[in-house]
Amino acid sequence: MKMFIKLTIANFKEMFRDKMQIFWFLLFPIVFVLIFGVLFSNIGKKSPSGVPENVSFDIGVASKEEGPLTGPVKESFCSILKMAGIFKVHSSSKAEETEAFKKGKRHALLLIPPDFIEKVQQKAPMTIDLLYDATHLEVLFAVSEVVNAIEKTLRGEMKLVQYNLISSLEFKQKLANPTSDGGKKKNDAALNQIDFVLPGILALTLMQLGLFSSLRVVNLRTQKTLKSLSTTPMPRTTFLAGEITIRLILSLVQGIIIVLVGHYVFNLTVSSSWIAIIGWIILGISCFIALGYMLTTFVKTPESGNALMQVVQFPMMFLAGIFVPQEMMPEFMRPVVHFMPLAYLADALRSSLTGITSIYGTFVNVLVLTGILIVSLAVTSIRFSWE
Amino acid sequence: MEKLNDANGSTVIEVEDLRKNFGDLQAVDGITFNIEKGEIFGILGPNGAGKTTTMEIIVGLQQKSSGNVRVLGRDPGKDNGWLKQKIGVQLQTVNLFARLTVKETLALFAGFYHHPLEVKTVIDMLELDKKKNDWISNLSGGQLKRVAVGNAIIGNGDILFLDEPTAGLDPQSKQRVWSIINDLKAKGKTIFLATHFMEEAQELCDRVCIIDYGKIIEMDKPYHLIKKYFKETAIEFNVPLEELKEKIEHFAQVSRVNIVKDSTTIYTTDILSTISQLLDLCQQDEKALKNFRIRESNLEDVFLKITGRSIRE
Repeated sequence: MKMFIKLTIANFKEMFRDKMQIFWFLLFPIVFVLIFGVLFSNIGKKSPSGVPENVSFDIGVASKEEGPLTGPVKESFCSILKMAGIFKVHSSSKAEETEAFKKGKRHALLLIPPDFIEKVQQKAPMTIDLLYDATHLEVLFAVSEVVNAIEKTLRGEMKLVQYNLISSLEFKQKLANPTSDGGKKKNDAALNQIDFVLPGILALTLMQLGLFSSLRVVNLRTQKTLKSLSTTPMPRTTFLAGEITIRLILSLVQGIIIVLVGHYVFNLTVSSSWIAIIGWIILGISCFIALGYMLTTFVKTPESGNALMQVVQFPMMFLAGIFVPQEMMPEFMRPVVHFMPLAYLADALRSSLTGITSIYGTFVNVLVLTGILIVSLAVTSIRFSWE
Repeated sequence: MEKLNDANGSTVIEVEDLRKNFGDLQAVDGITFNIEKGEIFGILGPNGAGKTTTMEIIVGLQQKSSGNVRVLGRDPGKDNGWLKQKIGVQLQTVNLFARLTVKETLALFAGFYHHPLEVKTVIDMLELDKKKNDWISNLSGGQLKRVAVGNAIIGNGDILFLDEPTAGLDPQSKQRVWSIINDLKAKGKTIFLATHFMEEAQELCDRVCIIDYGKIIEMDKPYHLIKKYFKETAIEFNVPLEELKEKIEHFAQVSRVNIVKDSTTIYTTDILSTISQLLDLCQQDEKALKNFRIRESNLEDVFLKITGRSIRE
């Protein structure tokens, strides 16, 4: 233990005497959050209801068949869309609406089967055509949410009162599973887009810290510093434990900086306890540190290690639903998301930070992250070499 | 272990028919020697002869291919930390944490041992007092080597392993390291010294073992080796007299002429007669002899005679 503490202190000194390191250590998360925060947030655009005042979408509603949409179908769609507060609803014949859409007068056009209600009640499958303006992807979200909600209502699974939910949703994030645990959802406090993106960025930062932290060991190995240390009675495991402890502390500090900046600058919603958040940060960073160490057992030099880490982290950056929700990805790519460890950490952080319902559920998230941690540790302990 | 308590002349390191191969390369090829307590034992040879590999096997950094190694009665390959408390090692390439100070580095290493020396004692011993608060990255090569030697001695181990402790040092630093090694011997430490400086081995070692291509060629006290191979004195000058080599070799008392790079060495049993013949010869050929000197034979000459090549080649 004495060795461990001495070594850890020495490591800290070694790291933080490099001014560039401190600079990047503190600045990296802040810059990261600021850049993405500005890109994704809507500071100053909020109305009291949390809905940006200047946002309004023109939505066309028409029958899938020829002839105008009538009766309860039209009524429910139009009224509910209006209630959402961000749509201007237009309803006429299919031909007219299609024409309007082509001219760019509609952000989205819903073409609904005339027997929509009957089919829902019979639980019969059907398709609604949703034409949307590719430059306003967000409208897709909002509309599909509304349709979802309508469907649920008609099936008697959702009370009308909860339509509030839709307005607070406000195209910022996707509720993967609106039926579960409705009571915990935030109905009044509006969620920002940053609520979706920032936990993802936190997850991404943790992943990078974790993956790349193992490169220090590869560095020390090639520089033969490890060899010098292994002539002493200090057990090598003590050295590794020290390394990992430092990374845990560093990432915890960075994680907290990210959350605080997000909260105070961009109104990131922090809904759950700090204990849960810190718990996820620790589990997440442990998982990626272990993964990083496992990967370094396949390389010999810091350069090839760096390249390998890039290969691993790059697809995760874009395919783990960090910047773009899964739902916006092309259909064929979505299954890929489920193979990205980062997706689970991002999901867990998103749900524990902002209270958005988890896609995979806490249990699955813990299971996946712990699983990766254990497998990586096992492979590392078999393959790890000191020289 | 019992031997450990035996104060006078006990064997602390036993190496028997040690072999190590890296694929087809036989780096260590059947080496056998014993080292007694309190001895400075030099392992001597050109770069790549197998010195470092031998040392690293003895301290447990590398696994042997075959043979027997015992340090203080234990197998270093299976050591669980006990042995490392009893030894100190300075590796050939020194790499420490760049942004720790000298003092912090020594304190860190001291922390790994049960009964370390005081950091201050070691700093004084190494004459690093003025540099103790400097970062490792700001030290000169000589200072860095001294810190590495300091790391080896701070654990207060009984046996010290020093691998090329003076390679790349200026003459002054070299002298300083030599005096530290002599101090350590005076304190009763056993020292295993790997070097390719014949002068260093001759100066410091009680016994040397000359190895080449992984095999021991000779092992004895330096003085004995020189006496064994040379009754001659060496005449040396910095002019390669290639064209006169044959003529000189025919001088009555000359046993050997070696020309390495730009210098010529003549081994003779009668200096005066050889010099006068040499001067005559040079006068005829109008050759000037630069940097002319006469010296006793040394280990370098021994190595050259045994292997036919210079250790510095």
